[in-house]
Amino acid sequence: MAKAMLIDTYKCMACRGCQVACKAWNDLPAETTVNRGTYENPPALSEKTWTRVEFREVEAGGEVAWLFRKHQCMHCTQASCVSVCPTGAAMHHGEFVLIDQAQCIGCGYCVQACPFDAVHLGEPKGTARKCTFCLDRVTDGYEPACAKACPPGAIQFGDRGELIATGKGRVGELRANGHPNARLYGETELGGLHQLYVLTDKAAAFGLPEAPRVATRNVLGQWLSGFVTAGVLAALPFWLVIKRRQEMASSRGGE
Amino acid sequence: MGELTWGTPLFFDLWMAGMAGGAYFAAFLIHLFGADEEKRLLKLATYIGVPLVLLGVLAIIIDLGEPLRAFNIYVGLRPWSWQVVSGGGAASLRAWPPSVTFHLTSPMSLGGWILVIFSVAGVALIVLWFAKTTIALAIKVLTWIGFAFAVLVMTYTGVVLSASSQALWQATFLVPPLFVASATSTGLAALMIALQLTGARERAAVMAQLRKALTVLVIVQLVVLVGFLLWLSVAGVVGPLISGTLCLFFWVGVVLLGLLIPLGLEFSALRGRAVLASPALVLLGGLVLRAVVVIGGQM
Repeated sequence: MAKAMLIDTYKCMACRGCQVACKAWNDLPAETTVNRGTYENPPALSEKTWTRVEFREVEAGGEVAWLFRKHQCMHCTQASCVSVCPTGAAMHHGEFVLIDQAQCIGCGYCVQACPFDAVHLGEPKGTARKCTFCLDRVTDGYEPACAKACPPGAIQFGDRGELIATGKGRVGELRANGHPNARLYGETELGGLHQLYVLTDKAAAFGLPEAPRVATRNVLGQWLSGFVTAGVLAALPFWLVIKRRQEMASSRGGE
Repeated sequence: MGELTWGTPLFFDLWMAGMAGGAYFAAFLIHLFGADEEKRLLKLATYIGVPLVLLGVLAIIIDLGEPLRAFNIYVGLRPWSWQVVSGGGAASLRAWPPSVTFHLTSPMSLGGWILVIFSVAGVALIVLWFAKTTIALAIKVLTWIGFAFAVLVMTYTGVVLSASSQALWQATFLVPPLFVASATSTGLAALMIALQLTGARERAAVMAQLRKALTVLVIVQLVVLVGFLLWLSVAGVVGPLISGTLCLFFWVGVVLLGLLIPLGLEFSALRGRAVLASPALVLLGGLVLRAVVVIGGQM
């Protein structure tokens, strides 16, 4: 059965224990940051910060809601990074998306393609790095470090089908208790994500795309649009200017 | 905005590879339509194009996180592993380790192969021309292969950006058309400069025709650019180009210097004297276009 994590944004209290656990397990160095007037820290995901709690203030009905979302690789079924990777380094391993550090050349295409801004290039080797779903724990029967560390139990690890059922139950409870926009995110997006969210508000309020799309969905059309342009250019400037003038010249020469 | 993942080496490569493909594309058509019977332009385009492509590739390789592994785009060397790599459309033809890497959905994988085949065809043509061989069929086949891959090179430079999640690049189908139009105009401009500098015979008559073709190309590019801006405006993502830090480069570099002034020169009294002004400006405009689109997409 496919595994997944369910992140309940209502339960998250933004302690960032998940960030620390991720750094500790994956042996990732700290980042040098400056005070930006927010508890959110560091300012963005990077090659050495694979998960991070985002803080958002949203005003609704005269009250300010403080929304927290743990941001990391979503382990998409239709993964844009896997689609665009020129070397096959970004690949599916079961339900998880991994980047083979021995194969990655650090071209950065996955960074540009990811709809969730979850992949980054950098130290120590200039390759693309991101959340591995703690594959080295999960394959040994442990839960991922972030889920293990989460004090309020906002991160649950388990069977994806069961987590979807749990999540739907939670969404029902939230909707009945003052969160009419509550929704489950990740059940169907991009063929099914393996990081599921119980959101207390719309996806956009949490900085998530409402309808994420695969980077290569139009790639055939994009190639064709280039070919058509080449055809138009062959006809317009060259056929029109060169060919017609040559014909005029030769007809004059034949007179 | 953090540090750019794709910076100067990438937009220089898109510019140079586009110019190489465009020069060959233009020269081939000029030869096909009878204005260059001695293939002088086609040879010039090949002599310019192969080094440009190789320089561009070199710039990208140096910019890679792991430059010494650049060959992974072509072959997967995993002697320690017999694992078959697949998924997401990746086809790894594993006859024996090393495997050949060819990834149909990845424009960069295709682009890597396109650049190699274009360069190999170009080098083969140069060798045959220097050898003064009489194998006309081989030359003919190679020039047609070069033509097909010139179109692919020009298109690849646009598709590689549009297959992404960056709003500016993926919101429209007009990045490849814009880059193909720019590649052709910069390619023709490079040919004109090369022709002028090499002092070819009968160049005045040919140059007059090339200048006319360049003018039509600039007009086409202007039309595509307007469509591109409109499409992005409708999608609501045109911001980084027309306002903010890049807008000066866009309006002055791309629109004014790269398109409007060359167009104006054609219809002004200066055109006889400033033969190289328009091509030089078109080249500059093409570079600035790549720069603002590549950087703007990451803002």
